[in-house]
Amino acid sequence: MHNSNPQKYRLYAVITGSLIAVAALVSIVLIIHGLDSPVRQAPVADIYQNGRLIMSLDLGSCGDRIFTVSGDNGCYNTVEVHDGEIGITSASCPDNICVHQGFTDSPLLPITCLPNNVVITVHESENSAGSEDIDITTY
Amino acid sequence: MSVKKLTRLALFATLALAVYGLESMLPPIVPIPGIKPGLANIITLIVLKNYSGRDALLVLITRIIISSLLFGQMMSLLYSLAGGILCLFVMLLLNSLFKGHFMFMTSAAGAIFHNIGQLTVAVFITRTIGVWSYLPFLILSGIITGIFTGMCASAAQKFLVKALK
Repeated sequence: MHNSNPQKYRLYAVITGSLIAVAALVSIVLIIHGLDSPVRQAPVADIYQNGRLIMSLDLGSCGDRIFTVSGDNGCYNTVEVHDGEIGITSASCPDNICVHQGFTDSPLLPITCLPNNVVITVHESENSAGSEDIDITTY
Repeated sequence: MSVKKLTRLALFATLALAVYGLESMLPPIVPIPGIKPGLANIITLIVLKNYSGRDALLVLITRIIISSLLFGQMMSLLYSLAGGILCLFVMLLLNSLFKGHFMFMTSAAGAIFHNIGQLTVAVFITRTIGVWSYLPFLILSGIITGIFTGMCASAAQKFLVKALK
């Protein structure tokens, strides 16, 4: 029964290969689309720790600042806002991928420190005119 | 399980652990969490091809548990288990569909699902939907690293066919 159609595995391979190619194309289109999206007005950075929004910063108006997000067991991430961009400059995690991600003001990719469960996402201010008086909110 | 087989599976688990340990010492290639060569998957693929899905699962779980005890925190255990087991099931399916041919494709598909599994866990742990935006990067990197590890596995397979007799 298995040998009734010995070439069938080639058909499966063609189907799988096509699916992988489609996945690759869609990913490339999504990445290029994300990179091409226009520079956002009034970017706001949301800092999440353990899934909770702990701080929201208007990158356009909050000015340069350095602060530390502390977690359990002495975990920490030093966050810096510089020239309207936000980044993690040092961290207690073993791989420091969050530090290597550098500074961003783009909503394309969040800065993520999985070991310390800290995520920084950037989005456009709901009030994109930027006339809001509040430039920092803590929760 | 014969002593011979047990010894060989233990040897493969040790090899996977060594490869994983070496890989974790490399600096990150791309500053995106979750993107890594995944070289330990070469061993999973080889065990899957030469033994069975059950044996590959055994080697995989052994490697993941010992490696997170040695190199990581308990957090990485969750990520590795979700990614590794999903990857293995996809590779098991494709390996039987392809009758053991096209290992690079089996491996690439496995790597994609490994990354999808890890990202799903990441979304649950961080409770941040924005983490999904890593998906296209992770799918693309999974395809590239998967093809590479698959080709490594088929290159190693040529020598192993005689050695494992």
